[in-house]
Amino acid sequence: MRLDPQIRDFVLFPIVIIVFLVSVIRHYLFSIIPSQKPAVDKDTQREQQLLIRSNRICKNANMVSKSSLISRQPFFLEETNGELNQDSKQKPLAMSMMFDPSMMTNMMKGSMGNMIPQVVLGQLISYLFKGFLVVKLPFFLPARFKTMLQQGIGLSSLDSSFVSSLSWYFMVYFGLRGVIDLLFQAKDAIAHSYFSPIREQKRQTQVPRPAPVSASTPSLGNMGGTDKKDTLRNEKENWKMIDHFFEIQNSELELIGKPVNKEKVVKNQTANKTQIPKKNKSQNKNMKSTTPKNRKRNAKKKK
Amino acid sequence: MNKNLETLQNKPNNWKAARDLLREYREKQARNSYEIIKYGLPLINKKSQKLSKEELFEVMEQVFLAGLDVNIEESKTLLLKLQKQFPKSLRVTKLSGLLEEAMGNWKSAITIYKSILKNNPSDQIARKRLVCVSKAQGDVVLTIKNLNNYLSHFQGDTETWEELLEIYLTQQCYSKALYCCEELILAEPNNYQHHYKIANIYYTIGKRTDLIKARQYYAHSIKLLKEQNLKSYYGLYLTANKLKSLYSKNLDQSETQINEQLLQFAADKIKNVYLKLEDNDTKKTVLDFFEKNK
Amino acid sequence: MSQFHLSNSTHIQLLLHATKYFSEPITGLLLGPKIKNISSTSTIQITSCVPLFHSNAFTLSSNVDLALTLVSTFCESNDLSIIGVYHSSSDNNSQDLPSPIKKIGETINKMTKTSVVLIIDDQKLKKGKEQIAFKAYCYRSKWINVKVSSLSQKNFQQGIEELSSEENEKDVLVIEEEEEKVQEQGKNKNSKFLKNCQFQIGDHEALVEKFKKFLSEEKFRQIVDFEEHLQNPELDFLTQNIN
Repeated sequence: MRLDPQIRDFVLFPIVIIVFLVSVIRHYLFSIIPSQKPAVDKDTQREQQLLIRSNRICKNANMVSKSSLISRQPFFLEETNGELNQDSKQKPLAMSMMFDPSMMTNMMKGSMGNMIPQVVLGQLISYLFKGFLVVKLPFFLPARFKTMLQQGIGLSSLDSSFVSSLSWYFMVYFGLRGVIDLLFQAKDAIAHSYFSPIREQKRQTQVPRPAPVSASTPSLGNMGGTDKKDTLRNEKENWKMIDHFFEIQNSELELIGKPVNKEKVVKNQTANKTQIPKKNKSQNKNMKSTTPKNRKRNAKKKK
Repeated sequence: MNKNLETLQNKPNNWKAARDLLREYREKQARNSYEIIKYGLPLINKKSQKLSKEELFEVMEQVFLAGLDVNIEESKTLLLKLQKQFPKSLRVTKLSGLLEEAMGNWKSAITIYKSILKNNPSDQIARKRLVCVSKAQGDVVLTIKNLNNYLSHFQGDTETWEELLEIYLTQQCYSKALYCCEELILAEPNNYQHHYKIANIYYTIGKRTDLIKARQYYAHSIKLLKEQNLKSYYGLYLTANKLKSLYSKNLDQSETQINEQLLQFAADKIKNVYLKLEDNDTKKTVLDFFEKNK
Repeated sequence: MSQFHLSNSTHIQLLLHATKYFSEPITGLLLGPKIKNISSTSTIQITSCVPLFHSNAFTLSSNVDLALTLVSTFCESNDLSIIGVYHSSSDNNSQDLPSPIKKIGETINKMTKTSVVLIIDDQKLKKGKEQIAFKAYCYRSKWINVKVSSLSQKNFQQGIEELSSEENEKDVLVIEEEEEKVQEQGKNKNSKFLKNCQFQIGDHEALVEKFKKFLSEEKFRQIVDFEEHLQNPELDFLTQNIN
């Protein structure tokens, strides 16, 4: 089966050109409309950074000695004062976001800017190029995809790898994204200094992936205020999962070709998972009472 | 030597090479102030039309920063130009703060940064510059306090942990420096420089367990970067040597053997590096040293 | 009685090292010809320097041990010895003599029985007001400040003066040090300095002229220190060839 040159010239190429032009126009439009920096709440920022650090420690715990890891635990995990046992002070996102004008521009640009042209174009293309097949996909697809990919064509017996113009549009759209990024990256080859906002954004590391949460707790990112309180507590899961083994000790053995130490066969290494420390002895009331002064007092109390 | 630098030394008027050199310096955030002023100033003054507007101002900022080190009068003129172009810009205000710092006017610098923070409380650069002012004034205690304060809010900021590490080292607080270096490793575990630094600190503390850890970290640094890492090989050699001379009685047989093998490995590798070089005083000295200490 | 001379070429090399790394703390060693029997009347000359670090590497004993080992091997084969250490911190430090530098100086003292520490104070190198930029310290059970003066000066606190007419040792001048007890310093006017010990540098005015010339020729790029050598082993840090 061959492709009609008319389809090729008047459908395939035009769709490619349209998608390309729309992406270029959108890129320039976005660079003209200035994006506002969202006003970051101090507490939120602090907690985000806390989570970033906690995440990093849990991820790379094997790079430092066990004592270093243990010395960091009280800061995070100590029962009353540990950071991860505090209520999160982050304000619930949804409410403040919707009414904050500076965030509006950002939101508009982000989601709408991508969604609207895509939907509009998709509708336009399926209207303009209605009713005929355009390409044959080189791989086999089950019949379910027919309704999606063969819009406007009523043949139920047709092989579902023959698709309509709408699906060609989607393929071009996703395919050209990479090409357009490269194109505009080349134009932005000017390196940026320490003070430029682009570098500042790169320096502020991204918000960490929240710890895996069990099914019982409600999912994060919801609009409720109660869930936000536990953002920090949920991070504790990461700490429980640390199975510390000081990997560095193997590097020197590798250099001289000796067999490396494996996890459980090393002397003086506990293969147990990290224990969340209980309160320090000095804070433990029971211990205090064994000093002579307190013994007398306790003896009196008992009476 | 740098390709662009070579071109410029032969043809000082080659504006393309100057532009590329400055781009390289911006990318690496290098502080080669002499070169930046030497090649950047003519670029701004004579060939400004060859650069795009965006790049021109980036270059102006870069030359301004270089001028703070080398030629402060130029910096003053550049700042005036930038202020004219961007009258209410936060970025230019920060640069004016830097100029005050460079001239030693600590009070006016602090005023500028504090006013920035009033309107933009989450601005990291202004906060960091306040720390720099206290460091430049020589007030070590205040600087450490400010750094710790900054870190209590911005725990993930690697640059600040490095700064704190350096200050603790100058004050010889090695255990605290160790803590900071561990933070760097936890943040960037594949960066061989951090492993090399922490190995140095363990070596400096110098007890038996510390020397063993130092040796392990040097080995890890070598594992991350096998070539062009001469300093880690030297470190490995020194640590193994020190363990051998000071603690040989406290090591059991297998440990002694490992130590000896690491010593030999490091010595061989270092010798191989030098044998490939041309003869000079350093090569001769190093090879002499290894001859005597076989 | 020990007398310290600092040759002009070494002086310039120190300043060039400081110029090359203006934003960092620099450290290096001072070398001079070996003296077989150090007596109280011996003259200790400093004829060359070995720049070592341009970072806080001087605080870490691994770097220092390595540098000292290599430089002492070099000295043995060239009949030199390590006389002292020089240092300049990058900011207005409240401490004049950082403790890691003291430690280096003490290690050198153990090796060679005499050591001097030179601290370069870059505040004194401001354009138009070129003063002697050194503070020198000697070790007599603790580190004591030593007067620094140049050929054409009698009082080191004065500025640049005219050339004196002494032609014998244009480069170097020597003033004797008496081995007085340290307690007697209290009676002396200049009590914070070791009595009658002076650290001599060469003709200051000529030195400043030469240094300015080198600056304009950008000779400081030719300085290679130990850290650079570790990055690029082809570079030779033990002998600086700057004329």
